Amino acid sequence: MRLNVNFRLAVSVGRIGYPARYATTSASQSGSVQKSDATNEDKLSQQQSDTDVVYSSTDTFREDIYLEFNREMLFRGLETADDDIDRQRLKETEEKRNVSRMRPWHQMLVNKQVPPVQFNWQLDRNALKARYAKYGKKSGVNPGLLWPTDKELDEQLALNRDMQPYLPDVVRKHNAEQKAEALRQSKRIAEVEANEKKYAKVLAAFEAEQLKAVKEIDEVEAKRQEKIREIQEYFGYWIDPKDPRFGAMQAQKEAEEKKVAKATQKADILRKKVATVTNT
Amino acid sequence: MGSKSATERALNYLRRAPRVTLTDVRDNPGARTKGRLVRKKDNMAGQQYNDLRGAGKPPLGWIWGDFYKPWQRIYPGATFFNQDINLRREYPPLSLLELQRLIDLGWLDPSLPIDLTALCNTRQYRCDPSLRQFGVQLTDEGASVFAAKVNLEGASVFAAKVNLEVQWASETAIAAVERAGGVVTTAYYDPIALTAAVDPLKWFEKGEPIPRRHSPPADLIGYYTDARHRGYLASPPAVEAARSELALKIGYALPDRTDDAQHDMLAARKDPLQVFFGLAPGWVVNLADQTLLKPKNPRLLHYYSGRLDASKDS
Repeated sequence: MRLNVNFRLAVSVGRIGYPARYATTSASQSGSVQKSDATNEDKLSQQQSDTDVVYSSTDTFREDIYLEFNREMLFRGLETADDDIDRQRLKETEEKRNVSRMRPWHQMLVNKQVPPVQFNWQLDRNALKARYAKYGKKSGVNPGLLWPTDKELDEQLALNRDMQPYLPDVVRKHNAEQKAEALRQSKRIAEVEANEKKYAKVLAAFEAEQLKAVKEIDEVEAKRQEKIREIQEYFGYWIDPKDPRFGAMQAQKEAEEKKVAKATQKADILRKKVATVTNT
Repeated sequence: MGSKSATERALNYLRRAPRVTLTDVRDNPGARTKGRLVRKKDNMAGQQYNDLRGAGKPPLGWIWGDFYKPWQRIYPGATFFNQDINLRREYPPLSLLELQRLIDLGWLDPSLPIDLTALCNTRQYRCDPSLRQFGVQLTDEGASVFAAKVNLEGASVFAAKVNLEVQWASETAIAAVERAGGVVTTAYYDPIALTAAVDPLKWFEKGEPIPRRHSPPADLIGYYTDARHRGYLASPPAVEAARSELALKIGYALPDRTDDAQHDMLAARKDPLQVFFGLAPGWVVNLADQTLLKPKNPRLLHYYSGRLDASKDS
Protein backbone atom coordinates (compact mmCIF):
# COMPACT_ATOMS: atom_id res chain seq x y z
CA MET A 1 0.00 0.00 0.00
CA ARG A 2 1.41 3.27 -1.01
CA LEU A 3 0.66 6.66 0.21
CA ASN A 4 0.62 9.63 -2.06
CA VAL A 5 2.37 12.23 -0.11
CA ASN A 6 4.54 15.10 -0.94
CA PHE A 7 7.54 13.04 -0.21
CA ARG A 8 7.12 11.46 -3.61
CA LEU A 9 8.04 14.72 -5.12
CA ALA A 10 11.43 14.18 -3.76
CA VAL A 11 11.78 11.05 -5.87
CA SER A 12 11.53 12.92 -9.09
CA VAL A 13 13.75 15.65 -7.88
CA GLY A 14 16.94 13.92 -7.04
CA ARG A 15 18.41 11.51 -4.65
CA ILE A 16 15.76 10.73 -2.11
CA GLY A 17 16.79 10.38 1.42
CA TYR A 18 19.16 13.18 1.12
CA PRO A 19 17.58 16.29 2.47
CA ALA A 20 17.89 19.44 0.50
CA ARG A 21 20.36 20.94 2.78
CA TYR A 22 22.88 18.42 1.49
CA ALA A 23 22.33 19.58 -2.02
CA THR A 24 25.07 21.85 -3.19
CA THR A 25 24.63 25.34 -4.41
CA SER A 26 26.75 27.06 -6.95
CA ALA A 27 28.75 28.59 -4.20
CA SER A 28 29.87 25.28 -2.77
CA GLN A 29 31.00 24.00 -6.14
CA SER A 30 33.99 26.15 -5.87
CA GLY A 31 35.20 23.78 -3.25
CA SER A 32 34.29 25.22 0.04
CA VAL A 33 33.09 22.78 2.62
CA GLN A 34 29.58 23.01 3.94
CA LYS A 35 29.00 24.03 7.42
CA SER A 36 26.85 21.02 8.21
CA ASP A 37 28.37 17.80 9.54
CA ALA A 38 29.94 16.59 6.36
CA THR A 39 30.42 12.86 5.79
CA ASN A 40 31.64 10.83 2.85
CA GLU A 41 28.07 10.52 1.82
CA ASP A 42 27.71 14.23 1.79
CA LYS A 43 30.77 14.59 -0.33
CA LEU A 44 29.35 12.09 -2.73
CA SER A 45 26.05 13.86 -2.84
CA GLN A 46 27.89 17.08 -3.42
CA GLN A 47 29.62 15.59 -6.42
CA GLN A 48 26.56 13.94 -7.86
CA SER A 49 24.08 16.61 -7.28
CA ASP A 50 25.79 18.78 -9.81
CA THR A 51 23.41 17.42 -12.37
CA ASP A 52 20.40 17.27 -10.07
CA VAL A 53 17.72 19.83 -9.83
CA VAL A 54 18.36 21.85 -6.78
CA TYR A 55 15.67 21.95 -4.26
CA SER A 56 14.32 25.38 -3.90
CA SER A 57 15.18 26.90 -0.61
CA THR A 58 11.58 27.90 -0.11
CA ASP A 59 10.42 24.24 -0.08
CA THR A 60 12.16 23.03 2.96
CA PHE A 61 12.39 19.33 3.29
CA ARG A 62 11.03 18.47 6.66
CA GLU A 63 13.24 15.55 7.49
CA ASP A 64 11.77 15.08 10.91
CA ILE A 65 8.25 14.65 9.52
CA TYR A 66 9.61 12.39 6.84
CA LEU A 67 11.36 10.14 9.32
CA GLU A 68 8.33 10.07 11.59
CA PHE A 69 6.09 9.13 8.68
CA ASN A 70 8.42 6.40 7.52
CA ARG A 71 8.60 4.98 10.99
CA GLU A 72 4.80 4.92 11.20
CA MET A 73 4.50 3.11 7.87
CA LEU A 74 7.12 0.55 8.79
CA PHE A 75 5.41 -0.02 12.10
CA ARG A 76 2.13 -0.70 10.35
CA GLY A 77 3.86 -3.08 7.95
CA LEU A 78 2.96 -0.94 5.00
CA GLU A 79 5.16 -0.19 2.10
CA THR A 80 6.82 3.06 2.12
CA ALA A 81 7.79 5.02 -0.88
CA ASP A 82 11.30 3.78 -0.30
CA ASP A 83 10.26 0.21 -0.95
CA ASP A 84 8.58 1.11 -4.17
CA ILE A 85 11.59 3.04 -5.29
CA ASP A 86 13.92 0.24 -4.28
CA ARG A 87 11.87 -2.19 -6.23
CA GLN A 88 11.80 0.06 -9.23
CA ARG A 89 15.52 0.56 -9.03
CA LEU A 90 16.13 -3.14 -8.61
CA LYS A 91 13.97 -3.94 -11.62
CA GLU A 92 15.80 -1.48 -13.77
CA THR A 93 19.11 -2.83 -12.59
CA GLU A 94 18.10 -6.40 -13.27
CA GLU A 95 16.90 -5.51 -16.74
CA LYS A 96 20.21 -3.88 -17.47
CA ARG A 97 22.10 -6.85 -16.11
CA ASN A 98 20.14 -9.40 -18.19
CA VAL A 99 22.26 -9.80 -21.29
CA SER A 100 20.95 -13.26 -22.21
CA ARG A 101 19.00 -11.90 -25.19
CA MET A 102 16.33 -14.55 -24.45
CA ARG A 103 12.81 -13.94 -25.60
CA PRO A 104 10.24 -13.21 -22.89
CA TRP A 105 8.68 -16.65 -23.37
CA HIS A 106 11.95 -18.39 -22.71
CA GLN A 107 12.71 -16.12 -19.78
CA MET A 108 9.39 -17.16 -18.31
CA LEU A 109 10.19 -20.82 -18.68
CA VAL A 110 13.64 -20.39 -17.24
CA ASN A 111 12.22 -18.54 -14.27
CA LYS A 112 9.74 -21.39 -13.79
CA GLN A 113 6.72 -19.23 -14.24
CA VAL A 114 3.45 -20.69 -15.47
CA PRO A 115 3.09 -20.09 -19.20
CA PRO A 116 -0.36 -19.04 -20.39
CA VAL A 117 -2.68 -21.43 -22.18
CA GLN A 118 -2.40 -20.97 -25.92
CA PHE A 119 -4.24 -23.91 -27.52
CA ASN A 120 -7.57 -25.61 -27.07
CA TRP A 121 -6.03 -28.96 -26.36
CA GLN A 122 -4.44 -27.51 -23.26
CA LEU A 123 -7.91 -27.29 -21.77
CA ASP A 124 -8.50 -31.03 -22.12
CA ARG A 125 -8.70 -32.88 -18.86
CA ASN A 126 -5.48 -34.82 -19.31
CA ALA A 127 -3.60 -31.70 -20.35
CA LEU A 128 -4.90 -29.84 -17.30
CA LYS A 129 -3.83 -32.69 -15.06
CA ALA A 130 -0.34 -32.59 -16.52
CA ARG A 131 -0.34 -28.81 -16.07
CA TYR A 132 -1.18 -29.16 -12.41
CA ALA A 133 1.48 -31.83 -12.03
CA LYS A 134 4.10 -29.58 -13.59
CA TYR A 135 3.32 -26.23 -11.98
CA GLY A 136 1.39 -27.14 -8.88
CA LYS A 137 -1.09 -24.83 -7.20
CA LYS A 138 0.04 -21.73 -9.06
CA SER A 139 -1.10 -23.32 -12.34
CA GLY A 140 -4.63 -22.38 -11.34
CA VAL A 141 -6.04 -25.81 -12.21
CA ASN A 142 -8.82 -27.18 -10.03
CA PRO A 143 -7.27 -30.18 -8.24
CA GLY A 144 -10.65 -31.91 -8.25
CA LEU A 145 -9.99 -32.80 -11.87
CA LEU A 146 -7.27 -35.21 -10.85
CA TRP A 147 -9.58 -37.92 -9.54
CA PRO A 148 -12.22 -39.84 -11.48
CA THR A 149 -15.72 -38.42 -11.67
CA ASP A 150 -18.79 -40.28 -10.43
CA LYS A 151 -19.61 -41.49 -13.91
CA GLU A 152 -16.08 -42.67 -14.54
CA LEU A 153 -16.09 -44.45 -11.23
CA ASP A 154 -19.32 -46.22 -12.14
CA GLU A 155 -17.78 -47.33 -15.43
CA GLN A 156 -14.69 -48.60 -13.68
CA LEU A 157 -16.74 -50.54 -11.15
CA ALA A 158 -18.78 -52.09 -13.95
CA LEU A 159 -15.55 -53.21 -15.58
CA ASN A 160 -14.25 -54.52 -12.28
CA ARG A 161 -17.35 -56.62 -11.89
CA ASP A 162 -16.29 -58.61 -14.94
CA MET A 163 -12.54 -58.31 -14.90
CA GLN A 164 -11.93 -58.41 -11.18
CA PRO A 165 -14.30 -60.84 -9.55
CA TYR A 166 -14.66 -61.02 -5.81
CA LEU A 167 -11.34 -62.38 -4.57
CA PRO A 168 -12.57 -64.77 -1.87
CA ASP A 169 -14.84 -66.43 -4.43
CA VAL A 170 -11.95 -66.86 -6.81
CA VAL A 171 -9.79 -68.37 -4.10
CA ARG A 172 -12.58 -70.68 -2.99
CA LYS A 173 -13.20 -71.83 -6.53
CA HIS A 174 -9.52 -72.46 -7.04
CA ASN A 175 -9.26 -74.47 -3.85
CA ALA A 176 -12.34 -76.47 -4.78
CA GLU A 177 -10.84 -77.23 -8.18
CA GLN A 178 -7.59 -78.32 -6.59
CA LYS A 179 -9.45 -80.58 -4.21
CA ALA A 180 -11.55 -82.12 -6.95
CA GLU A 181 -8.46 -82.77 -9.02
CA ALA A 182 -6.68 -84.39 -6.11
CA LEU A 183 -9.72 -86.53 -5.40
CA ARG A 184 -9.99 -87.60 -9.02
CA GLN A 185 -6.34 -88.55 -9.07
CA SER A 186 -6.50 -90.51 -5.84
CA LYS A 187 -9.58 -92.35 -7.08
CA ARG A 188 -7.89 -93.25 -10.30
CA ILE A 189 -4.80 -94.46 -8.49
CA ALA A 190 -6.90 -96.65 -6.20
CA GLU A 191 -8.74 -98.02 -9.20
CA VAL A 192 -5.54 -98.84 -11.01
CA GLU A 193 -4.07 -100.50 -7.92
CA ALA A 194 -7.14 -102.68 -7.54
CA ASN A 195 -7.03 -103.62 -11.20
CA GLU A 196 -3.37 -104.46 -11.01
CA LYS A 197 -4.09 -107.20 -8.52
CA LYS A 198 -6.44 -109.04 -10.82
CA TYR A 199 -4.55 -108.25 -13.96
CA ALA A 200 -3.16 -111.70 -14.72
CA LYS A 201 -6.53 -113.40 -14.48
CA VAL A 202 -8.31 -110.80 -16.56
CA LEU A 203 -5.62 -110.90 -19.22
CA ALA A 204 -5.81 -114.68 -19.57
CA ALA A 205 -9.60 -114.57 -19.92
CA PHE A 206 -9.37 -111.82 -22.46
CA GLU A 207 -6.85 -113.66 -24.58
CA ALA A 208 -8.97 -116.82 -24.58
CA GLU A 209 -11.98 -114.80 -25.64
CA GLN A 210 -9.97 -113.16 -28.36
CA LEU A 211 -8.92 -116.51 -29.78
CA LYS A 212 -12.50 -117.70 -29.80
CA ALA A 213 -13.73 -114.56 -31.36
CA VAL A 214 -10.97 -114.64 -33.89
CA LYS A 215 -11.90 -118.16 -34.82
CA GLU A 216 -15.55 -117.24 -35.19
CA ILE A 217 -14.73 -114.16 -37.11
CA ASP A 218 -12.36 -116.11 -39.23
CA GLU A 219 -15.06 -118.57 -40.16
CA VAL A 220 -17.59 -115.88 -40.96
CA GLU A 221 -15.03 -113.83 -42.70
CA ALA A 222 -13.74 -116.77 -44.66
CA LYS A 223 -17.21 -117.45 -46.03
CA ARG A 224 -17.67 -113.85 -46.97
CA GLN A 225 -14.32 -113.63 -48.62
CA GLU A 226 -15.07 -116.81 -50.53
CA LYS A 227 -18.22 -115.23 -51.91
CA ILE A 228 -16.43 -112.06 -52.91
CA ARG A 229 -13.68 -114.03 -54.52
CA GLU A 230 -16.14 -116.08 -56.55
CA ILE A 231 -17.90 -112.95 -57.82
CA GLN A 232 -14.60 -111.33 -58.56
CA GLU A 233 -13.39 -114.31 -60.52
CA TYR A 234 -16.64 -114.56 -62.38
CA PHE A 235 -16.99 -110.92 -63.40
CA GLY A 236 -13.36 -109.88 -63.46
CA TYR A 237 -13.21 -107.11 -60.90
CA TRP A 238 -13.60 -106.54 -57.20
CA ILE A 239 -16.95 -105.32 -55.83
CA ASP A 240 -17.59 -104.06 -52.31
CA PRO A 241 -20.10 -106.45 -50.67
CA LYS A 242 -21.97 -103.40 -49.30
CA ASP A 243 -22.56 -102.24 -52.82
CA PRO A 244 -26.23 -102.75 -53.81
CA ARG A 245 -25.14 -104.37 -57.03
CA PHE A 246 -23.45 -107.17 -55.08
CA GLY A 247 -26.65 -109.05 -54.38
CA ALA A 248 -27.91 -108.63 -57.93
CA MET A 249 -24.60 -109.77 -59.33
CA GLN A 250 -24.59 -112.75 -57.04
CA ALA A 251 -28.10 -113.69 -58.15
CA GLN A 252 -27.10 -113.21 -61.75
CA LYS A 253 -24.08 -115.42 -61.24
CA GLU A 254 -26.13 -118.12 -59.58
CA ALA A 255 -28.75 -117.98 -62.35
CA GLU A 256 -26.04 -118.24 -64.98
CA GLU A 257 -24.39 -121.12 -63.13
CA LYS A 258 -27.71 -122.84 -62.84
CA LYS A 259 -28.22 -122.40 -66.55
CA VAL A 260 -24.80 -123.77 -67.24
CA ALA A 261 -25.38 -126.64 -64.85
CA LYS A 262 -28.67 -127.37 -66.54
CA ALA A 263 -27.05 -127.24 -69.96
CA THR A 264 -24.23 -129.54 -68.87
CA GLN A 265 -26.77 -131.87 -67.28
CA LYS A 266 -28.68 -131.99 -70.53
CA ALA A 267 -25.49 -132.52 -72.48
CA ASP A 268 -24.51 -135.29 -70.09
CA ILE A 269 -27.84 -137.01 -70.47
CA LEU A 270 -27.58 -136.69 -74.24
CA ARG A 271 -24.04 -137.99 -74.21
CA LYS A 272 -25.05 -140.95 -72.07
CA LYS A 273 -27.92 -141.67 -74.41
CA VAL A 274 -25.66 -141.50 -77.38
CA ALA A 275 -23.15 -143.72 -75.59
CA THR A 276 -25.74 -146.31 -74.84
CA VAL A 277 -27.01 -146.13 -78.38
CA THR A 278 -23.56 -146.47 -79.97
CA ASN A 279 -22.49 -149.17 -77.60
CA THR A 280 -25.32 -151.27 -78.34
CA MET B 1 -23.38 -94.86 -57.91
CA GLY B 2 -21.06 -96.37 -55.35
CA SER B 3 -17.31 -96.39 -55.21
CA LYS B 4 -15.62 -97.84 -58.22
CA SER B 5 -12.33 -99.58 -58.02
CA ALA B 6 -9.57 -98.55 -60.38
CA THR B 7 -9.92 -101.73 -62.36
CA GLU B 8 -13.64 -101.16 -62.83
CA ARG B 9 -13.11 -97.63 -64.00
CA ALA B 10 -10.41 -98.81 -66.34
CA LEU B 11 -12.70 -101.42 -67.82
CA ASN B 12 -15.50 -98.91 -68.29
CA TYR B 13 -13.11 -96.63 -70.02
CA LEU B 14 -11.95 -99.37 -72.25
CA ARG B 15 -15.48 -100.16 -73.29
CA ARG B 16 -16.01 -96.63 -74.53
CA ALA B 17 -12.55 -95.79 -75.68
CA PRO B 18 -11.18 -96.37 -79.13
CA ARG B 19 -8.31 -98.70 -79.50
CA VAL B 20 -5.56 -98.05 -77.00
CA THR B 21 -2.64 -96.08 -78.31
CA LEU B 22 0.53 -94.65 -76.82
CA THR B 23 -1.24 -91.43 -75.94
CA ASP B 24 -3.62 -93.32 -73.69
CA VAL B 25 -0.84 -94.68 -71.59
CA ARG B 26 0.13 -92.46 -68.64
CA ASP B 27 0.91 -92.65 -64.94
CA ASN B 28 -1.76 -92.75 -62.31
CA PRO B 29 -2.09 -89.44 -60.47
CA GLY B 30 0.45 -89.22 -57.64
CA ALA B 31 2.68 -91.91 -59.06
CA ARG B 32 5.45 -89.43 -59.74
CA THR B 33 6.15 -85.97 -58.06
CA LYS B 34 7.73 -82.98 -59.75
CA GLY B 35 10.45 -81.00 -58.01
CA ARG B 36 9.54 -77.52 -56.59
CA LEU B 37 10.34 -74.71 -58.94
CA VAL B 38 12.14 -71.86 -57.21
CA ARG B 39 10.46 -68.74 -58.45
CA LYS B 40 12.07 -65.35 -58.57
CA LYS B 41 10.07 -64.06 -55.58
CA ASP B 42 11.48 -66.75 -53.34
CA ASN B 43 15.03 -65.48 -53.60
CA MET B 44 15.23 -61.82 -52.32
CA ALA B 45 13.40 -60.91 -55.51
CA GLY B 46 16.55 -59.36 -56.87
CA GLN B 47 16.95 -56.92 -53.97
CA GLN B 48 20.48 -57.87 -53.08
CA TYR B 49 22.12 -54.82 -54.52
CA ASN B 50 19.62 -52.17 -53.59
CA ASP B 51 19.01 -49.83 -50.70
CA LEU B 52 16.79 -52.55 -49.27
CA ARG B 53 19.87 -54.47 -48.38
CA GLY B 54 20.79 -51.89 -45.82
CA ALA B 55 17.25 -50.95 -44.92
CA GLY B 56 15.48 -51.88 -41.70
CA LYS B 57 14.31 -55.43 -41.79
CA PRO B 58 10.74 -56.41 -41.07
CA PRO B 59 9.84 -58.01 -37.76
CA LEU B 60 10.15 -61.73 -37.16
CA GLY B 61 7.43 -63.75 -38.72
CA TRP B 62 6.83 -61.28 -41.55
CA ILE B 63 6.59 -62.74 -45.02
CA TRP B 64 6.25 -61.04 -48.35
CA GLY B 65 2.80 -59.64 -48.90
CA ASP B 66 0.96 -58.34 -45.92
CA PHE B 67 2.92 -56.37 -43.41
CA TYR B 68 0.39 -56.94 -40.66
CA LYS B 69 0.02 -60.69 -41.06
CA PRO B 70 3.07 -62.55 -39.87
CA TRP B 71 3.53 -66.21 -40.67
CA GLN B 72 2.01 -67.49 -37.49
CA ARG B 73 -1.25 -65.71 -38.15
CA ILE B 74 -1.76 -66.60 -41.79
CA TYR B 75 -1.66 -70.37 -41.53
CA PRO B 76 -4.43 -71.85 -39.40
CA GLY B 77 -2.24 -74.81 -38.69
CA ALA B 78 -0.09 -72.59 -36.51
CA THR B 79 -2.89 -72.28 -33.95
CA PHE B 80 -1.74 -75.58 -32.60
CA PHE B 81 1.40 -74.10 -31.13
CA ASN B 82 1.20 -70.29 -31.23
CA GLN B 83 -2.43 -69.39 -30.81
CA ASP B 84 -1.93 -67.74 -27.43
CA ILE B 85 1.31 -65.97 -28.30
CA ASN B 86 -0.24 -62.56 -27.59
CA LEU B 87 -1.67 -63.68 -24.27
CA ARG B 88 1.47 -65.11 -22.70
CA ARG B 89 2.99 -63.32 -19.75
CA GLU B 90 6.69 -62.53 -19.60
CA TYR B 91 8.81 -62.05 -16.51
CA PRO B 92 12.18 -60.57 -17.48
CA PRO B 93 14.74 -62.40 -15.39
CA LEU B 94 17.00 -60.98 -12.72
CA SER B 95 19.66 -63.33 -11.48
CA LEU B 96 21.03 -63.30 -7.96
CA LEU B 97 24.40 -62.57 -9.50
CA GLU B 98 23.06 -59.39 -11.08
CA LEU B 99 21.37 -58.43 -7.85
CA GLN B 100 24.60 -58.87 -5.93
CA ARG B 101 26.42 -56.80 -8.50
CA LEU B 102 23.89 -53.99 -8.24
CA ILE B 103 24.24 -53.97 -4.46
CA ASP B 104 28.02 -54.06 -4.57
CA LEU B 105 28.29 -51.24 -7.07
CA GLY B 106 25.91 -49.06 -5.12
CA TRP B 107 22.95 -49.10 -7.47
CA LEU B 108 20.76 -50.59 -4.77
CA ASP B 109 20.66 -49.89 -1.06
CA PRO B 110 20.15 -53.15 0.87
CA SER B 111 19.21 -51.25 4.00
CA LEU B 112 15.90 -50.41 2.32
CA PRO B 113 13.35 -52.83 0.86
CA ILE B 114 14.10 -53.69 -2.76
CA ASP B 115 11.06 -53.88 -4.95
CA LEU B 116 10.33 -53.49 -8.64
CA THR B 117 10.34 -49.70 -8.39
CA ALA B 118 13.78 -49.63 -6.80
CA LEU B 119 15.12 -51.96 -9.47
CA CYS B 120 13.67 -49.96 -12.33
CA ASN B 121 15.01 -46.73 -10.84
CA THR B 122 18.54 -48.06 -11.19
CA ARG B 123 17.90 -48.17 -14.95
CA GLN B 124 19.95 -51.35 -15.02
CA TYR B 125 16.82 -53.46 -15.12
CA ARG B 126 13.92 -52.91 -17.45
CA CYS B 127 10.33 -54.07 -17.34
CA ASP B 128 7.90 -52.90 -20.01
CA PRO B 129 4.20 -53.53 -19.27
CA SER B 130 3.23 -52.77 -22.86
CA LEU B 131 5.12 -55.89 -23.92
CA ARG B 132 3.08 -58.12 -21.62
CA GLN B 133 5.89 -58.11 -19.09
CA PHE B 134 4.57 -58.59 -15.60
CA GLY B 135 7.56 -58.06 -13.36
CA VAL B 136 10.77 -59.43 -11.94
CA GLN B 137 11.65 -63.08 -12.16
CA LEU B 138 14.32 -64.03 -9.66
CA THR B 139 16.60 -66.73 -11.03
CA ASP B 140 19.13 -68.73 -9.10
CA GLU B 141 22.21 -68.00 -11.17
CA GLY B 142 24.81 -66.82 -8.68
CA ALA B 143 23.11 -68.37 -5.69
CA SER B 144 26.43 -69.45 -4.19
CA VAL B 145 27.89 -65.98 -4.64
CA PHE B 146 24.89 -64.34 -3.10
CA ALA B 147 25.24 -66.18 0.16
CA ALA B 148 28.90 -65.36 0.46
CA LYS B 149 30.28 -62.50 2.41
CA VAL B 150 31.55 -59.55 0.44
CA ASN B 151 34.98 -58.14 1.12
CA LEU B 152 34.68 -54.40 0.92
CA GLU B 153 37.82 -52.39 1.68
CA GLY B 154 39.22 -54.87 4.10
CA ALA B 155 36.03 -55.33 6.08
CA SER B 156 33.77 -58.32 5.55
CA VAL B 157 30.41 -56.96 4.56
CA PHE B 158 27.43 -59.23 4.49
CA ALA B 159 25.58 -57.57 1.68
CA ALA B 160 22.99 -60.23 1.21
CA LYS B 161 20.40 -59.48 3.88
CA VAL B 162 17.74 -58.03 1.68
CA ASN B 163 13.99 -57.54 1.74
CA LEU B 164 13.06 -58.47 -1.81
CA GLU B 165 9.71 -58.13 -3.47
CA VAL B 166 9.56 -59.84 -6.86
CA GLN B 167 6.85 -61.24 -9.10
CA TRP B 168 8.23 -64.73 -9.69
CA ALA B 169 10.93 -66.65 -7.90
CA SER B 170 12.43 -70.09 -8.28
CA GLU B 171 12.78 -72.32 -5.25
CA THR B 172 16.58 -72.20 -5.28
CA ALA B 173 16.60 -68.43 -5.51
CA ILE B 174 14.27 -68.16 -2.52
CA ALA B 175 16.48 -70.57 -0.61
CA ALA B 176 19.62 -68.59 -1.41
CA VAL B 177 18.11 -65.34 -0.17
CA GLU B 178 16.68 -66.88 2.99
CA ARG B 179 19.88 -68.67 3.81
CA ALA B 180 21.64 -65.33 3.78
CA GLY B 181 19.10 -63.96 6.21
CA GLY B 182 16.98 -62.07 3.73
CA VAL B 183 13.30 -62.14 2.89
CA VAL B 184 11.56 -62.81 -0.41
CA THR B 185 7.95 -62.07 -1.26
CA THR B 186 6.20 -62.63 -4.58
CA ALA B 187 3.51 -60.08 -5.34
CA TYR B 188 1.26 -59.49 -8.31
CA TYR B 189 0.97 -56.12 -10.06
CA ASP B 190 -1.82 -55.67 -12.58
CA PRO B 191 -0.76 -53.84 -15.77
CA ILE B 192 -1.90 -50.35 -14.71
CA ALA B 193 -0.30 -50.58 -11.28
CA LEU B 194 2.76 -51.98 -12.98
CA THR B 195 2.99 -48.96 -15.28
CA ALA B 196 3.02 -46.72 -12.23
CA ALA B 197 5.53 -48.87 -10.33
CA VAL B 198 7.97 -49.16 -13.21
CA ASP B 199 8.25 -45.40 -13.84
CA PRO B 200 6.80 -43.42 -10.94
CA LEU B 201 8.17 -40.11 -12.15
CA LYS B 202 6.39 -40.40 -15.46
CA TRP B 203 3.21 -41.40 -13.66
CA PHE B 204 3.31 -38.42 -11.32
CA GLU B 205 4.00 -36.05 -14.19
CA LYS B 206 0.68 -37.09 -15.69
CA GLY B 207 -1.13 -35.88 -12.60
CA GLU B 208 -2.73 -39.28 -12.03
CA PRO B 209 -3.57 -40.55 -8.57
CA ILE B 210 -1.66 -43.59 -7.37
CA PRO B 211 -3.61 -46.62 -8.62
CA ARG B 212 -4.84 -49.43 -6.45
CA ARG B 213 -3.55 -52.89 -7.19
CA HIS B 214 -6.08 -55.45 -8.28
CA SER B 215 -6.07 -59.10 -7.28
CA PRO B 216 -4.37 -61.67 -9.51
CA PRO B 217 -6.40 -63.45 -12.22
CA ALA B 218 -7.71 -66.95 -11.71
CA ASP B 219 -4.76 -68.71 -13.31
CA LEU B 220 -2.28 -66.88 -11.05
CA ILE B 221 -4.23 -67.13 -7.82
CA GLY B 222 -2.73 -70.54 -7.15
CA TYR B 223 0.77 -69.13 -7.38
CA TYR B 224 0.32 -66.11 -5.13
CA THR B 225 -1.67 -67.90 -2.45
CA ASP B 226 0.99 -70.58 -2.16
CA ALA B 227 3.43 -70.26 0.75
CA ARG B 228 6.03 -72.28 -1.14
CA HIS B 229 6.31 -69.39 -3.58
CA ARG B 230 6.18 -66.90 -0.68
CA GLY B 231 3.05 -65.44 -2.20
CA TYR B 232 1.80 -62.16 -0.78
CA LEU B 233 -1.68 -63.64 -0.36
CA ALA B 234 -0.47 -66.67 1.58
CA SER B 235 -0.91 -66.71 5.34
CA PRO B 236 2.20 -65.74 7.33
CA PRO B 237 2.25 -68.92 9.46
CA ALA B 238 2.19 -70.99 6.28
CA VAL B 239 5.09 -68.93 4.94
CA GLU B 240 7.04 -69.57 8.14
CA ALA B 241 6.43 -73.28 7.87
CA ALA B 242 7.47 -73.28 4.22
CA ARG B 243 10.64 -71.46 5.17
CA SER B 244 11.66 -74.17 7.62
CA GLU B 245 10.62 -76.85 5.17
CA LEU B 246 12.77 -75.40 2.42
CA ALA B 247 15.77 -75.20 4.73
CA LEU B 248 15.36 -78.86 5.57
CA LYS B 249 14.79 -79.80 1.95
CA ILE B 250 17.90 -78.10 0.59
CA GLY B 251 19.97 -78.57 3.72
CA TYR B 252 21.03 -75.31 5.26
CA ALA B 253 20.63 -73.82 8.68
CA LEU B 254 18.18 -70.99 9.00
CA PRO B 255 19.89 -67.92 10.41
CA ASP B 256 18.53 -66.59 13.67
CA ARG B 257 16.53 -63.41 13.41
CA THR B 258 17.39 -61.83 16.70
CA ASP B 259 19.21 -58.98 14.96
CA ASP B 260 16.84 -56.12 15.77
CA ALA B 261 18.77 -53.54 13.84
CA GLN B 262 17.22 -54.58 10.55
CA HIS B 263 14.05 -56.16 11.86
CA ASP B 264 11.74 -53.32 10.88
CA MET B 265 13.20 -53.14 7.42
CA LEU B 266 12.93 -56.90 6.87
CA ALA B 267 9.40 -56.97 8.22
CA ALA B 268 8.18 -54.23 5.87
CA ARG B 269 5.50 -55.49 3.53
CA LYS B 270 3.16 -53.69 1.23
CA ASP B 271 -0.57 -53.89 1.60
CA PRO B 272 -2.10 -55.94 -1.24
CA LEU B 273 -3.50 -52.70 -2.68
CA GLN B 274 -0.37 -50.65 -2.23
CA VAL B 275 2.01 -49.78 -5.03
CA PHE B 276 4.61 -47.66 -3.24
CA PHE B 277 5.92 -47.93 0.27
CA GLY B 278 4.58 -45.16 2.45
CA LEU B 279 1.99 -44.02 -0.08
CA ALA B 280 -1.61 -45.12 -0.28
CA PRO B 281 -3.66 -45.61 -3.45
CA GLY B 282 -5.71 -42.57 -4.38
CA TRP B 283 -3.14 -40.02 -3.28
CA VAL B 284 -1.77 -37.57 -5.81
CA VAL B 285 1.90 -36.77 -5.52
CA ASN B 286 2.69 -33.25 -6.71
CA LEU B 287 6.39 -32.79 -7.25
CA ALA B 288 6.18 -29.09 -8.12
CA ASP B 289 4.76 -28.17 -4.74
CA GLN B 290 6.27 -31.19 -2.97
CA THR B 291 2.86 -32.04 -1.55
CA LEU B 292 0.47 -34.96 -1.28
CA LEU B 293 -3.17 -34.51 -2.18
CA LYS B 294 -5.55 -36.93 -0.54
CA PRO B 295 -9.17 -37.42 -1.63
CA LYS B 296 -12.04 -36.86 0.77
CA ASN B 297 -14.95 -38.06 -1.35
CA PRO B 298 -16.33 -41.17 0.40
CA ARG B 299 -16.91 -42.97 -2.88
CA LEU B 300 -13.32 -42.46 -3.88
CA LEU B 301 -12.09 -43.51 -0.47
CA HIS B 302 -14.19 -46.65 -0.68
CA TYR B 303 -12.86 -47.46 -4.15
CA TYR B 304 -9.22 -46.92 -3.27
CA SER B 305 -9.44 -48.75 0.02
CA GLY B 306 -10.77 -51.78 -1.81
CA ARG B 307 -13.16 -52.99 0.86
CA LEU B 308 -15.36 -54.98 -1.47
CA ASP B 309 -18.69 -56.39 -0.50
CA ALA B 310 -19.79 -59.64 -2.08
CA SER B 311 -23.41 -58.61 -2.32
CA LYS B 312 -22.94 -55.16 -3.82
CA ASP B 313 -19.94 -54.25 -5.92
CA SER B 314 -18.39 -51.08 -4.63
